[in-house]
Order: sequence, then C-alpha cells, then structure tokens
Amino acid sequence: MTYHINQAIVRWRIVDDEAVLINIENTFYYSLNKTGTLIWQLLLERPRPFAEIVGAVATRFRRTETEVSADVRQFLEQMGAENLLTMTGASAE
Amino acid sequence: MQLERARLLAKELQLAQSSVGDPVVFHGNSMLPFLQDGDALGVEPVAWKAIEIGDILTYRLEDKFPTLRVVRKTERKAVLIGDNWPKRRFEVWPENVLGKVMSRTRAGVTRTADSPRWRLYSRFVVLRYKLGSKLAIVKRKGLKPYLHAVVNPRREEPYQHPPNIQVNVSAQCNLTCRMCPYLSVHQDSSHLRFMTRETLMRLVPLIKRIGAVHFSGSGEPLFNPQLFEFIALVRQAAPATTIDLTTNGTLLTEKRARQLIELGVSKVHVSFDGLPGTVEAIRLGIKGSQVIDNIRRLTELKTELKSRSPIVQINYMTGYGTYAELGEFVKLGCGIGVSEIQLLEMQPATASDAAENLFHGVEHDNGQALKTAIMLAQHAGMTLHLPRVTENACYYPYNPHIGEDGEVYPCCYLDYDGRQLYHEGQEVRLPSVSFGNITTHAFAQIWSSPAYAEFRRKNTKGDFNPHCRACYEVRRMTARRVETLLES
Repeated sequence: MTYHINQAIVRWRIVDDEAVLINIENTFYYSLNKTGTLIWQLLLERPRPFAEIVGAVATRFRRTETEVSADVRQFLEQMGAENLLTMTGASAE
Repeated sequence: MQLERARLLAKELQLAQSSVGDPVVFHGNSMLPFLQDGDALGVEPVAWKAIEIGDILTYRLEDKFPTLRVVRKTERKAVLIGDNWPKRRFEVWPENVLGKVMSRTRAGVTRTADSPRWRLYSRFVVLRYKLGSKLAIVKRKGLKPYLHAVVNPRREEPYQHPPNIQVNVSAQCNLTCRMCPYLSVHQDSSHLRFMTRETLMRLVPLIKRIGAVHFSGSGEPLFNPQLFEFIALVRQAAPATTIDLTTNGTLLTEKRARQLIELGVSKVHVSFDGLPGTVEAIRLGIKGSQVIDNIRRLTELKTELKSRSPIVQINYMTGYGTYAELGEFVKLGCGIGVSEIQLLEMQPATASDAAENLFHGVEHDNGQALKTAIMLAQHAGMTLHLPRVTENACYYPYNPHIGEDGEVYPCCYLDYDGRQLYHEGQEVRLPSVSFGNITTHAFAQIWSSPAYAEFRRKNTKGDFNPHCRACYEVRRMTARRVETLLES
C-alpha cells in the first residue's frame, strides 16, 4: 500500500521540525511532532509504501523496524481516517 | 508545538486559502468604504514580485491578520494604508505577507480583483494617497522644500544660532547604569551638583530666540530642586517654547507629573531599556515596575487634566540583550500611554560592551524582532524612531550641551572629562571640548567664535578630527546594522 498526501484538501507549514496541517474542507487542524513531521516530509518528496516509511523512521531514530512499525502504522491510519492521506495499491505488509 | 502557536499557523493557512476554502471575514473600519465589517474575503498566496501598487494584502502581525492596501513597494518592503486611515503608514516585509485579497462578497454579491471597478477604485485610492502626501508636505513646510534648490542654495553656515540646546541641570543620580559615561562625574565631589538659577537665566534670552530647550543632566534632572522653577521661568519668558525633559523616571511622582503637565512641558524622554525584570540588570538601582507605574500615572493625569502634553517618549538602548524584548516593550508602552520610542545605540566603551552592542549576535533573527516591533508600533499609532546617521556628516555640534557649570560643549560625547569609546579594537579616549562658559561670556559670542564655527563646518562636511571620526564610525555601523536587519 502506497501512501499519498491528499494535496487537494491539505495545506501545511513546517516550522522548527514541527508541522501544522489544515484540512481546508472542514478547517480541522493538526499539529505533528518531530516524528510525524519526518513522515510528512518523506511523503512530500513522493508517495511511499509502508515499508519504506518504516525503514526511514527506524534509520532516523536508530531503532529497529520492529520497534517503530506499530507506531508508524497507527500514525498513518489516523492520518488516513482524517482524510489527510490517501492509500493506493494492495496491502503488502 | 504549543497549541496556541499551532492554532495561529492553522489560521494563517486557512486564511491564505480562503479563495478556495471558507472565506475570511473582514472586521473593522480601516478599509471603509471598500471593505466593510462582515465582508467575506477570498485571499490567495502571492509572490512578492507579483504584488502591485493598489493591491490589498493580508499579513501576519503576531496573532492578528491586518488587511490593508499597498501604496509603495520596494524589493524588500511595502508600505500600506487603510482606505479609511490614509494618514497612517504601515510597513510590511515579504515574510509576513499571507496573501492578496482576490474577492469580496457582500450581501451575496461577489466582486473580484480583476474586475474593472475594483481596479479603478484601487487606482483612485492610490492617487488620493499620493496627492495627499504632497499636500501634507506643502501644508507642513510650505513650498520651500520644492523651491529649495532654486531660491535657497546650501549655505556655509545654515544656522545663525542653534536650533535647540540641551541644558544639563543635575549631576546627581540615583542609578548606576552600566553604559553611563558620567559615573565619574556623579562621584566627583568637586563637580557642581546642580545648575544655578543665575546660570539658567543667562540662557533664557537664547531659549526665547530659538524656541526650544531640552533639560537633561549628566545625572537625573529631577534631583535639581529648582528644575520646575527653571521650567516656569522659561515658560513665562517664552510661552511658545518647546520644552523637553529627560529623566530615568524613578522620581516621577504624581505631584511632579502634575507639575510637568501644568507647566506645559512638551515631551518627557524616559530612559528605559528592556522589560521590568531586565532593566534592573542594566540600570542598577532602578525598580522597573515602579517607573512603568509612574509613566502610566503621568498619562492618566494627562487625560484627567485634558492635556495633550507632555508626549511620553522612551529612550530604549538596545544593548545588553534588550533587542529581543523590543516587541513586548512596544506592547507594554502602548498600554501605558507611550507615544514614541527612540532606539538608541549603545556607544561601547570597552570590548565587552562592544560584544553586547546594538543588535549584536542576533543575525539568526533576520531582523524579525525589529520588524515585528515596527509593525506593532505602527498599528498602535506609536512612532518608533530608528538609529540613523547622515552620510559623512555630523550635526551634533548644532545642538550644544550646556553643563551644570555653564560650559558649552558641542555634544554629549565631548563633554566633561570626555568619554571612552571602543572602536576598531581599541579603547579611544575622547577629549573634553568646551568652547566657552556662559557664566563669563555671552552664548552668542561663544557660538560665533571662530573655533566653534570651524568645528561645526568641518563636522557637517565630514572633515572629522580622529575622535569625532571614531564616534561617527560607531554610530554609522549601528545605523548600517539596522538597515541590514530590515533588508534581511
């Protein structure tokens, strides 16, 4: 499954390694911590599959992929539920 | 990220996308009649280069988002006005702009920025502003500025007498300020403590002629028990005289504040740097909150007595880390009735002073604290004076300093024992330069003496002696730092 930023309705600003996102349809806004901002920045570069995101986070914070996998999944699911991210492709995890 | 900050950023994002999302609701009367309270606006991000004169911009000012019209623009800054506030100017820098107003919806009817009526009205407002600016100058100064080059070519000696004088009435002080150049004067028991009535009387005819005087001191003027008598004498001899007073504010009791108002003092300059809590480490012996209360009481009394004077100006020295507090101080000053803030450079006397000089070490700031302070002041109707220097000229000698003992000095940097200045890696000792004493000679005689006239002539043409050169270079460096910060 590849994750995409829903550029049609999300606007964001990154300040000092933290991001603020706003859904311009419902005006809900979200604040991301450094980890969330890292993931967001990865997706800004290009859509990425779950495994790639997990690998990048693990490398960045010097953890194993097993240690970060659950948190990354939860984050991505929450973002999807808020319509900030879209998913394409079948699940490959 | 703090919730409040996240909320503000989200608001900015929403605002900048209001042309495609929920519109922004305009509030206030600054843009009447073009924008009314309750109008729904569509705002879109705009590149700085694409901004044109007449555009309406929305920009960030801390937690507020003013919307005003562009009347001037350079590569680094724009000047805006409110259609309903044509006499007030607001500056904005690129990093603060959120977007351009592209549409207005009122009672179900939408107008867009590309419509002919919108464009025509924008041109009208800008033209009205430009004409108004020119008329204001003519009204204030007459036609002289426009005829100057033809009928009034630059003369060798522009003034037959000084346009202003600073009269030091007290060498006694209750504070020990870190940057004070007069500490030795305060401690010198042989130095005259207070100017006498007799000395002041010798200046009254001059004050009457020039119409301006500034009472200050190497110490705190309010220590002089005759100060209010002096002011009353001047006021009686020359009712139209502009009378200024500099004070540290610690002795500004309600009684004295009332006397200042009743005597018609024009402006009170209060020396204060940073917020209460910070100033105590700079002006040793001060209680910052007490001075703030004193100022507040003075401005309250003005209201009670229905007086417009004195105007209260803060002389704010931006060394020792006070630069970072400038924005908060502007807000504090607005709340207590301060009308003007003059930013002063700290003339460093030592290497450690130079390290803490104006704006030093704030390169990472990109001038944002200063720009924010300027914008806050403009929106509050306060004037923020920046350090400036005339290129290769010094006009200080045209504002002589009269010491408590009557000595006539050309400026505050060459008075008393002289002053130490840190310049280009060296501690330079500035000499004391006196052109005479008014207790023994008439001021006119001193002013027209060949030595003083030559001194003034050279300084205004940049032909500085080494000491004046050192002082000028330090002040020019400070002014350049300000320009650099504003251009960053």
